[in-house]
Amino acid sequence: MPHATTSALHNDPGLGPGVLAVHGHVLAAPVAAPTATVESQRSTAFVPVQGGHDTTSANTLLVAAYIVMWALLLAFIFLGWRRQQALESRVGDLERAVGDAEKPMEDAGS
Amino acid sequence: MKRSKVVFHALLAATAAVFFYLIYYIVLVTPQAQLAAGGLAQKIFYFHVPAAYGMYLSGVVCFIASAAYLVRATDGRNAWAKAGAEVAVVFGLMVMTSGPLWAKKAWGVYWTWDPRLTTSLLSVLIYVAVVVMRAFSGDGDAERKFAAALGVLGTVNLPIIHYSVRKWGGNHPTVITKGGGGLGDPRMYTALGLGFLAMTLLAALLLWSRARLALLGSRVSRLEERAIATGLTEDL
Repeated sequence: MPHATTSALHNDPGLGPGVLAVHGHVLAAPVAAPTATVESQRSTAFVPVQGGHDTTSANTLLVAAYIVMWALLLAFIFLGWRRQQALESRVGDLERAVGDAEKPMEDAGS
Repeated sequence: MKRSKVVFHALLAATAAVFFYLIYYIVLVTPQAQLAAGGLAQKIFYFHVPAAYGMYLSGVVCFIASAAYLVRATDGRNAWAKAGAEVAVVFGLMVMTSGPLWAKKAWGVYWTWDPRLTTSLLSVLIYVAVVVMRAFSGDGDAERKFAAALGVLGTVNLPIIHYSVRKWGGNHPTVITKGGGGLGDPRMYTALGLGFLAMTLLAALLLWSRARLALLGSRVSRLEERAIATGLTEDL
């Protein structure tokens, strides 16, 4: 890594404010407490909060996020589908039972 | 086959196709963002933000149907209000699970009491309350009206989520909204656009199927009342 002098360090506009770059190489975002974050930095930068420890791999987090979202969605669809089957069967049973019970009354009325 | 069934299956096929293409596009085409944004984990963004939009969309459906139900109570309005709250919970949970996983990489922690995160959690909890209330308190008119009022309240919170980040600051980025730095590559915009399209189709599909389910539930209740009126009490 090239030696970073004060003059070589700058905020790269392509990376957004708060992301340090040396001769085009991204170093890291400066660690700052959320209270120290100014609004202009927040708009395009992701600032670690105090006490955070970045030990998890991005791959794991990405895969976990997609699995959780799809699992939630598929579980919701499956439960809805099962409930629909149950309700359709109940409607069928009730319509038959009510039809059979009402028929003698209608016949008696006519 | 009924026309509505054909439209439903066409919508289902379109949603599946857009989702497959979206996943391919995010994984293989969209470039990785800078490390400070979470690097590879930033790709959660293309589902996370559209899922939040899906929650807003379902919340608006819940709001309109709930307000309409409070004006004049019908089974249809109640069904859409119920469907709106249920789908808002699903999208809300997608947002509240994907966001912390991305935050772990970008911020270093899963959760922080940032204004946008807190107001989003509050909104999801309100919709959860609507769903739980409807599930456990019966399906009478008073319960439906109370749930509708709560549904209206839940949606009133949505604009607060949207503007919280500008009003109160915090860690949550405003990359694509007013004042944000935007996305650095056109492929990132395409992926986000596809995400919005996919979530719009998914929201339409889920809302429709849940509303149909709620209407079926109302039909069962009416039939049960008729059955009791005809003296049928056994084997019901």
